[in-house]
Amino acid sequence: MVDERSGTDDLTRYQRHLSLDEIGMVGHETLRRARVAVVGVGGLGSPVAAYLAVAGVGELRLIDDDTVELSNLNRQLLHATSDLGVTKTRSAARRLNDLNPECRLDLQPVRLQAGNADSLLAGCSLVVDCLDSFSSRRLLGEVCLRLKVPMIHGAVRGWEGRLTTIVPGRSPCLACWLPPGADEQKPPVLGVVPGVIGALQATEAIRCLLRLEPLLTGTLLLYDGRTMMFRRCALEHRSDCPSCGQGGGKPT
Amino acid sequence: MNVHVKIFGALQKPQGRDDFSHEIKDGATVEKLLLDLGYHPRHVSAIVVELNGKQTRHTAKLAAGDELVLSLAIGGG
Repeated sequence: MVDERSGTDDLTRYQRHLSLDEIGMVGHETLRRARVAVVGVGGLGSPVAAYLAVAGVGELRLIDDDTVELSNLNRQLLHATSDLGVTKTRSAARRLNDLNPECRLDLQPVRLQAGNADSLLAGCSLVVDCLDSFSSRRLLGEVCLRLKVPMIHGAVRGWEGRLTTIVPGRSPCLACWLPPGADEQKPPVLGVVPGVIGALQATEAIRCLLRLEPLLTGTLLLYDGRTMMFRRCALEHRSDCPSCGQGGGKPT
Repeated sequence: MNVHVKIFGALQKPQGRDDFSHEIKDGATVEKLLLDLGYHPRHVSAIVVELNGKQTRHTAKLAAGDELVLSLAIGGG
């Protein structure tokens, strides 16, 4: 297949990862057939969407109802000064189309809510949690559990970030361990931190799609950019978890 | 009994320390430890607690020699 805009065939675009044992043509096809929801197209969603697009993921569903503001631009690399006032999904689509026009984009400029979450995530093979509040993350976690779709959770604040992978029926869900933290309106964040965590989420997403074990299930990976420290903390299923403890996603 | 406490990241450091031993009553819970370290009762619930390498609940009982890592729950994106 020839990419009309770049004038090269699609294998040239992916040449540098096709030679990896874990990818090759089989992995490339797996990525090309995948449909991934990126929920939140801000600090985390920017690197996640960009790296999944250039990796050859077939379709990205971008879900975000925000518009680009000046205060976003210290970290949200899919958006630029010329995008101020534009919806983030549209702004992201401009960059992503240029990064890889072969990646199909399904733009959903809406807020994820209980009433629309099921339909927004329907048909996705993987969900990446790039949201910016505890309440929306909890909702997303519950919906992914119900739809039995794996979710890669990431979060940042200040110099810190963390991520984990939740596979319904196999790993602790978000509600098993996420404390009832209070949402902050504008938490501080060093711009590069969501870049680090988003890049790790994208790596984990590719590993998840390619079924490369071990995934980051049952493990919280913590990062502190101020001291350059990483930690791994084991997460455990909670038998009385309000989300997965009554059956549903409970490990068997 | 003595337990060992480390603070990870930006969570407030008790008396400015991020790696220290702390003496507490036998059988104390994680929550009791957090309050004993001076964290405000309103903020305690937002602390993620790792006990001997595993995330744990605040109701967990501590034993002598336990190692804890405390960090702040974060939700930004």
